[in-house]
Amino acid sequence: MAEPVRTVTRSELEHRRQQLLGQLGLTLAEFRELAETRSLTSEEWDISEELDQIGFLLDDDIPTA
Amino acid sequence: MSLEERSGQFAAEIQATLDGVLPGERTIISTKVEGAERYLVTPDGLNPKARRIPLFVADEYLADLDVALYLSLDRTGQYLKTVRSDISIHSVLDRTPLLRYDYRSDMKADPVAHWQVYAERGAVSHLLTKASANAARTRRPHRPHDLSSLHFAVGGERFRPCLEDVLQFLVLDCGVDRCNGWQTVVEGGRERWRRRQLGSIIRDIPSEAARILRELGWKVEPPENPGLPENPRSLRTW
Repeated sequence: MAEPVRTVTRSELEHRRQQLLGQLGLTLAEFRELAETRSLTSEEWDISEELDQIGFLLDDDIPTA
Repeated sequence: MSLEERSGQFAAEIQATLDGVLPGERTIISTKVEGAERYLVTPDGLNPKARRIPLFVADEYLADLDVALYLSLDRTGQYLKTVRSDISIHSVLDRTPLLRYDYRSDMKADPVAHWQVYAERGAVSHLLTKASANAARTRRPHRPHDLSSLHFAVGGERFRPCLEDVLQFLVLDCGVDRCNGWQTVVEGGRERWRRRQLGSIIRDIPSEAARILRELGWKVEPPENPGLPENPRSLRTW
């Protein structure tokens, strides 16, 4: 059974965020703007969720949708 | 108990609720960043897709439940509170949401707690497209024809539905496979949730609690140090 509380580092999260944005080929601001103007695809939804969660943990989040 | 331990205890409660209602196995964990008191409680998994909980109807895998609970310090700076929750149901045919129940305590324009429905009906799209031109500028949807642009308010921060309400909806209205004894688990969890919310409301507006208790014949005296000022915002925000 996994530990009930898992600790991650800021650099791990920042690296993961860059990976996700790399998949999109967009900056975070560009992705936020895209989410405001059209429906997201299923892949974009997954990325949006993960970016929101990373943003929350890093305390610099701007919700995507 | 430390805040970290409390977040782990909260994760264990969510685990027990889900395990008591939905068949299958999952592990609920709390994730934190070193040095910060912010916790994310979700099913374990490398990414959101892996963290979804499969929903079955008569043993057929038809949908996924997504649950993410965001915990941070409350206004006293001493206790954890859920500042955001994202609960959604996704079809296996299309991983975009079918239904979303979102709560964000710091929501700016949309209702603090709301449902969104991702569906299509021509008459609704027609109405929304016509009506959007007359909506307040700040509320004008970017996708006016889209039913999901509507946010159905559900009770604000304190009176919002709990996870158990969503689970009961899935079992009774959607017919998803459930464990024996699920209703006892749901009702126990709901009672725990509503007692917590009641405590939060009393801490927001203790004078109202004192007034009611006096009406019922209790003797209630204010403390010498009342602490933080009352917080009626949670009763006023949609």
